[in-house]
Amino acid sequence: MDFSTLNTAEQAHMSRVIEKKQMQDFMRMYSRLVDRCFNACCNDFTSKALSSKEEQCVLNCTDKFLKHSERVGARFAEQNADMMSSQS
Amino acid sequence: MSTDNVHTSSPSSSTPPSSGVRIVLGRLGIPSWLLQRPKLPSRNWLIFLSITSTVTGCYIYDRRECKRIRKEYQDKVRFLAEEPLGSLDLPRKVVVYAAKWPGDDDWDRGMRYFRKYVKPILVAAAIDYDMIKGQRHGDITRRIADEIKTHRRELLGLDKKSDSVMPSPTDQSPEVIRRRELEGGLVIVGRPTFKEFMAGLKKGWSETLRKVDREEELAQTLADDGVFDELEPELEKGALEGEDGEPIPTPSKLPSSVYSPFQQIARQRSIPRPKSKAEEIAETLDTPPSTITTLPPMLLVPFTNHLGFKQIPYMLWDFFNERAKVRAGSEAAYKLVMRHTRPFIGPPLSDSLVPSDTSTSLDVITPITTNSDLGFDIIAETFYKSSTLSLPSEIAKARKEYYNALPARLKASRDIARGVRELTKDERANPPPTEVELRAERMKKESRWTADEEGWEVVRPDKPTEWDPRFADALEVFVEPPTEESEKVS
Repeated sequence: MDFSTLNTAEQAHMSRVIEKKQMQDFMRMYSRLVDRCFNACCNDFTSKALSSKEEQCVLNCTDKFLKHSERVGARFAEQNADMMSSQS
Repeated sequence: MSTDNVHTSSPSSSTPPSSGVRIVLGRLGIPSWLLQRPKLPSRNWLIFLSITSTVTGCYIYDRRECKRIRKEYQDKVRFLAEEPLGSLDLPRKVVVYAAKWPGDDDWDRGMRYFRKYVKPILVAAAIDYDMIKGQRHGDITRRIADEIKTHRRELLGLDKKSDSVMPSPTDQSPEVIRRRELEGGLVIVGRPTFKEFMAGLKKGWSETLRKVDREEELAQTLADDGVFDELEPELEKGALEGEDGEPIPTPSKLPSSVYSPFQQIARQRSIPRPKSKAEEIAETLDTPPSTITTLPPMLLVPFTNHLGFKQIPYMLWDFFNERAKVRAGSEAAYKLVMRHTRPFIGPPLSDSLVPSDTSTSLDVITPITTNSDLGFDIIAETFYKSSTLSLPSEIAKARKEYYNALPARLKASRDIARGVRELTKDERANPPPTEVELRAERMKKESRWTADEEGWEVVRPDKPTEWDPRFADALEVFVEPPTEESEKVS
């Protein structure tokens, strides 16, 4: 995305659009994370409170999810860079 | 009457059982056919069943052993896959080379051996691999030589590595890349690959650094042949002089050309070609360096491809003994995973000082190779088909045939192009190739033939593996990890 071709008003508009998209992405990832970890960790509804086992499970789940997302992003960036360099 | 009794007493479904226990059990309700003495099937059935059960048993035992061996080695290395890895880190990576086996049209056999017998253990140990295949003889040699030349150019500063368009978080500094490469490894499947690899190393470190485009060179060589010349003065742009391949001398010749009615003389003459694209590299830079950068350790995987009718017994034996291959491949992969190395054993130094050992010089397989790593898997060369030795003569024959047929096709296409004659009915259906297409076809064929010839020179069984004294410090080989008993002793 190069911004040199646009003037300031359009640049501001583009940056707002990008920020909004990033926020949406973030919210989407958060909701997927919560859904995934809840389904994986909390299966016993006999008590209202979260047990220590479930607490640990949630910690591990969020850690792994974020690390996984980071790694997938890294691989994707590598592939993208390869494609760009082979095209140019 | 007695004979009747003999016949009726033979067991059949309606005869009552004879002894006491059987009568009692029969009264209890057990069906009578269960109470009779079983008899063996007939002789023919016995033969059939024994043969099929033996063959099936061998097959099943072999495949079960294969699975067990594979699982055993996978369990030995699984601990490496369980180790945590940072999310931006990369696992260990090895490069696998597999060249074409001489005489085999299926060039993929070496890589398939790797995929079937070595790869499962690497996968279990979470080691990444890059597979590089050689489709024709000499492919791997050329590829490695080119890589080494680019590496040398970068070392000398002639070329800069292009900066990546998009910097990504996984970009690594050159030191890290180099360290990962050394930690990785090379896997070489089979003796032809090994020969090609060593020849590529030698070429890369000994040849000039100038960027040489093989196609351009070939085109220049071919342009000076008078094959595409003809009566009228239509000379190619690249040639410095034009010869006439036709026996009839013509008055229309360019004044700058040197008249020569014979093609052979012109071909033998060496012409200084205009090197418009060649770079001038200082002599000091262009000389081969005395030390070469160390290579990652090599894993030499023995591989024998059985081809042909005469080797069918070996193929049958291999079919029922796949566990030997599984064990060999898994053992090799285990060596790679455990990362114990030793320096490469080159030819003995005394060999160059004492060349007059007549008994050894008569052997095709010289004894210098039996103690050094250069003789890796030399037994595999005895399995080459005898038809492979005639490869150069086959190429020469194909060349001759092509060049004999070429003038006729050339004349036909030129006559049609100039309108001297019309297309015949057959030619309307299959239009003959134009001159441009003929040139391109010739170029393609010549490049393929020269590539094959060069590649065969590297791989042929009577030539030993290439070696350079500079390699002695730069190569390492994977070996078995020391077992616990030997560790206790030492």
